[in-house]
Amino acid sequence: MTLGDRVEGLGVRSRVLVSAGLILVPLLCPISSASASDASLRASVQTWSKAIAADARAVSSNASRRHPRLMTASAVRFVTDASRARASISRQFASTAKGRRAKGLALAAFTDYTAAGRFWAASGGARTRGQKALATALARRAALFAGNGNRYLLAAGKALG
Amino acid sequence: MVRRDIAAWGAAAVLVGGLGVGSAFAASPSEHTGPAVTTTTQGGSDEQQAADDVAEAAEDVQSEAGNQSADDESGDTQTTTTTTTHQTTTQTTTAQDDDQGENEDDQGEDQQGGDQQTTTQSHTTTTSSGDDGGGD
Repeated sequence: MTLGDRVEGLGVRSRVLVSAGLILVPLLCPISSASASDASLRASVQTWSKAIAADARAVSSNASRRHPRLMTASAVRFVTDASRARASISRQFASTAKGRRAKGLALAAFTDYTAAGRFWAASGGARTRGQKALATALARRAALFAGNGNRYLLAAGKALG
Repeated sequence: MVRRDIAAWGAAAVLVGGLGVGSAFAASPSEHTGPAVTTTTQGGSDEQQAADDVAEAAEDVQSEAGNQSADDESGDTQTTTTTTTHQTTTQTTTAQDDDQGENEDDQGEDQQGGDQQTTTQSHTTTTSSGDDGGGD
């Protein structure tokens, strides 16, 4: 076997390898992009969780200091961020079944947070006007939505792993 | 010519192999060491932290709504002083008025539009002003 023959043999083997690689690439790339999109969804949920947590702390702080107007403003900000979170997450693409489930749960969570924030704001307004019974009822409704939102958010976090 | 062919095909093979290895790692992020694991753990804690904060806020709002003691007016009324500082648009002024708590539902709907960013800024300024003024 001459050197030329060996080179020819290597060339053929290389071509076989490349052909195999070209077949595998389309199979592997979707896996990669699916993971990337789920990672992006996870990052988005984390980012908005932090924002919501900060807003909730402001609501909590203002409520405990008996500042209903400030609490209302904080609640409005909470609603705004929850709505923006919902819009941002709905734009994310989830390609795996887990990712799609997590996306649905996260959207449900932020929808409930939006409702909770609206009830907090309404409760603060009622308290400002001296309607304490109404304020209490509205705060109770808010707590229900907040609890549901928490359950959905934690489930979404678990689904995203 | 043949050597050039071999080099080209070899480079292509290496590229394909690299893509394959990269895809394999991307498909199983939980097997990564260091940052990937940290991110996963951090993610879970972010959501848990948010849930804890929201639950605490719900509890605080509920307990304070039913509290018969008077509100801290000195700390709470500071919000009205910043109204004149916002002169961007008429809509901004309207949104600022909503800070007082009369039209909470309008706030929730306003956020979809482009003017919402300005509204949010207004709230931010208002809140910080109030906190500094009499909250402490």
